[in-house]
Amino acid sequence: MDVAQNFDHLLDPISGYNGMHDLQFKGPVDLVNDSWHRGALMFLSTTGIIRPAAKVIAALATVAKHAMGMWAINAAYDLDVVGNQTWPAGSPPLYRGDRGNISGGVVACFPATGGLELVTTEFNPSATYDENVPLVAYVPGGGESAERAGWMTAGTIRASGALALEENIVGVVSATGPTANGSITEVYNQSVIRFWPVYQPAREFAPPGP
Amino acid sequence: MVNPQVRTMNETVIGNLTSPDMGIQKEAQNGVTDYLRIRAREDGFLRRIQPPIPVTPADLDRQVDTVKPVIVKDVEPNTPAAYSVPFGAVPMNHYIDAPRYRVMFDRIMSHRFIADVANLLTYDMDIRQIFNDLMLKDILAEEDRKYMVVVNAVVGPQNEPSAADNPHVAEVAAQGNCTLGAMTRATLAQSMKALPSTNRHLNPAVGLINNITIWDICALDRTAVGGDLAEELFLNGFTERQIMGLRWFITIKTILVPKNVVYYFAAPKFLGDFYTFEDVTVSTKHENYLFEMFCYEMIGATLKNAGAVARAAFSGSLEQWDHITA
Repeated sequence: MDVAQNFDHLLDPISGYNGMHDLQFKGPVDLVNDSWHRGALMFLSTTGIIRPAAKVIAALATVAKHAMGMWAINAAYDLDVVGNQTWPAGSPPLYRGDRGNISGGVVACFPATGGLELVTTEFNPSATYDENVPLVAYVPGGGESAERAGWMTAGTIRASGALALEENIVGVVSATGPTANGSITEVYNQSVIRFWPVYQPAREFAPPGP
Repeated sequence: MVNPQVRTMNETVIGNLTSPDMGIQKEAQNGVTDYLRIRAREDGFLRRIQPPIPVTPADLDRQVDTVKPVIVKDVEPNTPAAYSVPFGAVPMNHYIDAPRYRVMFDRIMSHRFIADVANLLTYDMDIRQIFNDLMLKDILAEEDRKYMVVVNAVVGPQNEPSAADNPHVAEVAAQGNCTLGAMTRATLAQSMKALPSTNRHLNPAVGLINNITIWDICALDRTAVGGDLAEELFLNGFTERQIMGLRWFITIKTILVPKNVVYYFAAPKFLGDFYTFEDVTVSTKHENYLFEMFCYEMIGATLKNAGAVARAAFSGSLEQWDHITA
């Protein structure tokens, strides 16, 4: 794969303690099957691979229901992530691509346990984000780009105002902007949502009797 | 019981480590070394296969699409074949160009080791220096691990002659990962044909083998290796020497170099790159009674020539390196 970088996607911890050695969770990635932008929502697979959330949902929804949310500090195509990969048949010769580099193979994330407030570009723009809206993983449909597997979207709020217990909530919107969907426009014109990470795994909404 | 002499040395070591004077910090490396070793460790083999070249900020290339540091390298160009013509003919044109690629950098670091100074003082051994050595070897081991991931990707699937299914065959017109049968003089010689069998015709410069499989070479008898060498191997085992014109690097990292496997590498200038922007650096901090340290480095390395590496497995049946199909 010839990689390309861009500055349209970001993840910023805008408040909270972000020490260089604290909180970050680092782990191996699957660059053959996954692609994601900076700021994507990631889950741990059952084999310890950090994957875009929807990929874990597709592989094993029962695990994804209680997976810890975390947000990728690095994109799949960042040059310190993309190397260290397999070399499938049909790919260009080694000397023509970025293959053959030993760099990369690992991504760093902010897990939802952290006392942070984050902004990310990786969200479903079709949803509406008001203050206190719960955030869950977005599941892309067929034909959507692979990177959308790392998007978040608005979770379900019942008419009573209570949250849907069957959804794995990974964050809560903290502030909104003057756009139709509540997103905020960043300094280089990126659309972001601003939120606090939380960890609220899905639970049985009809618990078994005693 | 705590040895008072060692305790004094540990106090000195810790005191020197926190000195702002770099000369005094070096003295911290002098300490006691009496402790029970339970595991063999080794330096990295990548640094022997592809010796690192230090680079500076001036060597880095800027990219418009990323802030990550890279170095852009050119690749030796190729030319269309010359051809015979009748008199009066003029040459066809070919534009002068050559491919190029990026060497990407990333960072390898150790864990951060933290202790209360009061606890460090109770050790008989120079525990700081030992951790220092272990951190360095751990970093070198990670370099080797990452390199072998790429090596195993580049050599392609084992005994796969199809260019459609084996990118190594598609690029260099030979297999890069073959079984050859049990180790004998004949199969060892067969393994040496791996790199010359490609359309790049390189010769191996280095063989990488683990410290178990090397005994199969020692087991070759007088008939196979000749009288003097057979006797020498029997008496002294395998010391680093040239066999079949190669340097042999013996590693204890059997996870990376399995039993009955030999990797062959061409000379570094044909193989790829290894740049150190920050070579291994130890960061230490002493704040009140807490001592902490960790190691880090920033390196960029590539294996960019599929014709410069091969994997020979001394097991199974004999597969020819040049057995290829479309």
